[in-house]
Amino acid sequence: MFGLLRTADAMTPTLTGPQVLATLIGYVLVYAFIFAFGIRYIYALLREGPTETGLRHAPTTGKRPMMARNGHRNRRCGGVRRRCGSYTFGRP
Amino acid sequence: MSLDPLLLSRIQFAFTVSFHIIFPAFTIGLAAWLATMEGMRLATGNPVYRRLFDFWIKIFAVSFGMGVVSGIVMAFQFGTNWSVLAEKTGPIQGPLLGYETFTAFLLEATFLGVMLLGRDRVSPRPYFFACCMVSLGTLFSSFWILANNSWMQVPVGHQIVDGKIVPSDWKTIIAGPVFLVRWLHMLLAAFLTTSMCVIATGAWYLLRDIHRAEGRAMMHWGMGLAAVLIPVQLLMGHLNGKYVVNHQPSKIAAIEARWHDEQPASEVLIAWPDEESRQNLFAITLPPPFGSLIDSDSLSAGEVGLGSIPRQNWPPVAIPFFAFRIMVGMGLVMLAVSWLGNWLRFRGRLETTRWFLWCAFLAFPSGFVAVLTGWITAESAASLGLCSGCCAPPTQ
Repeated sequence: MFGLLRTADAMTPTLTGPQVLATLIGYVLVYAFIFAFGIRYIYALLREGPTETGLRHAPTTGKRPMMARNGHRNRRCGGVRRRCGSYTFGRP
Repeated sequence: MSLDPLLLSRIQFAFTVSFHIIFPAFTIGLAAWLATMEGMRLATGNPVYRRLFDFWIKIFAVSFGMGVVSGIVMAFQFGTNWSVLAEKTGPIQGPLLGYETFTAFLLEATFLGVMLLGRDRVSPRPYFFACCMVSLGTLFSSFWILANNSWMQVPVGHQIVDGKIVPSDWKTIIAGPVFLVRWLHMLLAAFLTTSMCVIATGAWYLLRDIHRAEGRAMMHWGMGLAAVLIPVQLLMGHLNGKYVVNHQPSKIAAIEARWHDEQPASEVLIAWPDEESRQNLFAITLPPPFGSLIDSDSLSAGEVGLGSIPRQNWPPVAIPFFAFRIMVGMGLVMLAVSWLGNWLRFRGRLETTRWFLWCAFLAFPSGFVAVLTGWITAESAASLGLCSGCCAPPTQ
C-alpha cells in the first residue's frame, strides 16, 4: 500500500515461519503438478494444429481420430489435397 | 537459522501471483480473438475461421482453467498471510473484488458453458453472443482488478476511522487518477501477448508446411493487430511513467537508476546499479536533457534522485531497473516482428522468408515476459519492498 501500510505491518501476526514454509512447498508442488500437465496438453494441442475441422456432421471414413496425420488432410474435400476453404486475405 | 514468515509470505505471494498473471494475460486476448473468429465466420461463412475457432477454443479452455485455479489461491492468501491488510483495507478491497465476482465471473461462468458445449445446442447468433459475453467478462475482470491495484498504488478517496481504511468516495476509488491508463496498459498487454502467441503458432505451421491456410490467417490477423496496438501501447507505457513520476518518486528514481537530483536529468540506458556506492557501473547514458524529456516531457525539469529519499523507502534498485528494461525490450521485439512481418506480407514474401518465420516463432514468449517484468516493475517498488505481497494482478 503506497504510503499507507508497509508490508511488514500487513502480515498476519500469528503466522510462523514453518507454517508458511510448509504451505509454500505445498503450493509449489501442486502448481508444478497441475501446470506441468496443463502446459503439456496445450503444447500437444498446438503441435497437432487445427485438425478437427468442425465438420462433425460431415461423412467420414475410417476411424478418424486414429488416422495418420496426412491421411485425413487429403480426404476432406473429396480427395482434393487443398482443404475446403482457403484464406487469402490480402496477398498470400 | 530462523525462518522469517514475512520473507516467506512474500516469496509465496510473488510465486503464486507471477504464475497466475501468465494465464489472464493470455486468456483476455484469446477470448476476444475467439469472438472475432466467430464473428468473421458468421459474416463470411469461411470454414477457415471455424477451424481456427475450434482449435483455439481448446487452448482457451485449458488456459482459462489454469487461470482460475491459480487465481483462487491468491484470494486465500489475503486471509491466511495478509490478514491485517485484509482487515484494514477490507472495506475497500472487499467490495472491489466482490464486484469482480458479480460482473466478470457471472458472465464468464454462464456463457463459457454455452461456448464450450453449446455449438450444436444453440443457433449461431446466440452462440456468437455467448463468445462476446465471455470476452466482456474478461474485460470486466481486468477492470476491477486494475481498479483495486491502482487504488493500492495510489490510494485516494478514503479516510481512516479507528485504524481502518474506509471508503469516502467510491467514484474516486474506482476511477482514480491512475486507473484508466494502467487498465488500458494491461489490456493492450494482454492483447499483444495473445497476438504474439497466435503469430508464433501460425509461423510454426508455415515452417512445418502444415495447416497453411490457418497458419496464414493466424499470422495476418495477429500481425495486423499487433502492428496497430504496439505504438498505442508504447504511448500508454509513457503515460504510465507519468503517474509514477507524479506519485511515486522512489519508484521512478529506481527505474531510472538516478542516484542524485538532477536538473535537467540524464537518462541511463543500461548499467549495473550499485546500491552500496550509489552509482552506476558500466553505464551507457544519454546526456541531459533526455531524462527530463522522457520523464517529464520537458527540456529543463528537475528529476528526483534516490539520494533525497530516505534509505528505508528505497526499493531494491536493480529489480525495477532491469525489469523495466526487459519489458521495454520485449515491446521493441513485438514492434519489430509485427511491422517487419506486415512489410514482408505486402511485398508477398511472408511465407518464403524462413528466417522471419523463425523469428516470429521464437518471439512467442515476448508478451508473457513483458507482462511479468512490467508487473515486477510496478510491484517491486510499491514502497513495500520485494514483490510487495499486497498486489493483485488480474484474477480470472
